[in-house]
Amino acid sequence: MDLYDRELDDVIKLALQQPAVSVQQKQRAWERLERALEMESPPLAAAAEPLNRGWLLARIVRAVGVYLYQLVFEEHRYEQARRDRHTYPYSGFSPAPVRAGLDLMMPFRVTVMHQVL
Amino acid sequence: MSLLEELSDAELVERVCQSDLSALGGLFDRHYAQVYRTALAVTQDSAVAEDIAQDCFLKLYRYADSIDTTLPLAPWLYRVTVNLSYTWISRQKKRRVSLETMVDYLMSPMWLSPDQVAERQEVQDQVRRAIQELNFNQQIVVVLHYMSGLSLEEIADILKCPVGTVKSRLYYARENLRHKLNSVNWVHEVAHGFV
Repeated sequence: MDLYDRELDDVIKLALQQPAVSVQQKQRAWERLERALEMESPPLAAAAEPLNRGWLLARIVRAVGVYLYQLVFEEHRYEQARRDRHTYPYSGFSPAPVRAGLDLMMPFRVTVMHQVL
Repeated sequence: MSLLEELSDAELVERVCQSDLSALGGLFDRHYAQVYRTALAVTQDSAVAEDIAQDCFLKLYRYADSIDTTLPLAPWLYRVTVNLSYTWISRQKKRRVSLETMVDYLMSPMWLSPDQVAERQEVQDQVRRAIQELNFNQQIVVVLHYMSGLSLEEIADILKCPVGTVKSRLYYARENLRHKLNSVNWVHEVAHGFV
C-alpha cells in the first residue's frame, strides 16, 4: 500500500521536528560569537590600515630607486661590472668574413659589436 | 521594550555596518534559532549546526555593507546557512549520522506506552535517514518547506532558482521518500497516529 500524501507530509514534518532553542543555549552561542569576533579583530584592523601598506611600498620604491641610480650614475660600479664582463663571439653564415661579439656586462648593460675582417 | 527590539532588521543591519556589536546582538536574538534549526535539520549534528550558525552571523557582521536592506533579511540568512551546510556536507567523505543527538531532543507524549514511544522514534529515525539519503538539492528543499514552512516562491528566492525547479525537486524528493518508506510497514500505522 502506498503512503498517502498526507501521511507522507506528516511523517516528514515529524522527522524534522526540532527542539526549541533555549535561552541558555542562545546565550552560550552569543558569547562564543563575541569571542570569535574579538579574535579576528586585530588582524582585520592591521590589514585595513593604509599607513602600513604605504610605508612598505615607499620602502620598496626607494630601494629600487637607489639601486638604479647607483647602476646608472656611479662609475665605479660600471667599471666593476665591465671588468667582470663576458664575451660571447658569434660567427654567422655570411660570404663576407664577419665576426660578431656580444658583451654582456652584468647586470644590465649589453653591447653588441660587429667586426668585419 | 528596548530600543533594539523596536528597530527593524534593515536598521539593525545598517548599524552593524558601523561595527555596532549590540545591533548584531539584536539580529542574533531574532534569527539564531531559525539558522541553528535549519543547519541542524540538514547536518543532523548539533555541534556542526552551532558552528554553522556562528559562521553565518560572522558573515553577517563582515559583509553587512553588502546586504540589500530593502529586502528581508531572513532569505539572506537562509541562503548563507544553506551554503555553509552544503560546504560542510560536501567536505564529508562519509556523512556522520549522529541520530542519537536528535532522538534526545524529540518529545515523547505522556500517553504513549514505552513500546509506542520506541516505535515512534524508530519511524522518525527511518524518515530522517531517508531524508539524509536524498541529494543535497532535494534535502534542502524538504527542510525549508516542511521544517521552516516556507513557500515554494520563498525557497526559490533563497536558492536563486526558478519556482518550477523547486517544485520539481520537492516532487522528486517526496517520491523518493515515498519509495523508501513504503518498505517500512509500520510507517502507515504511526503516520495515522500523528494525524
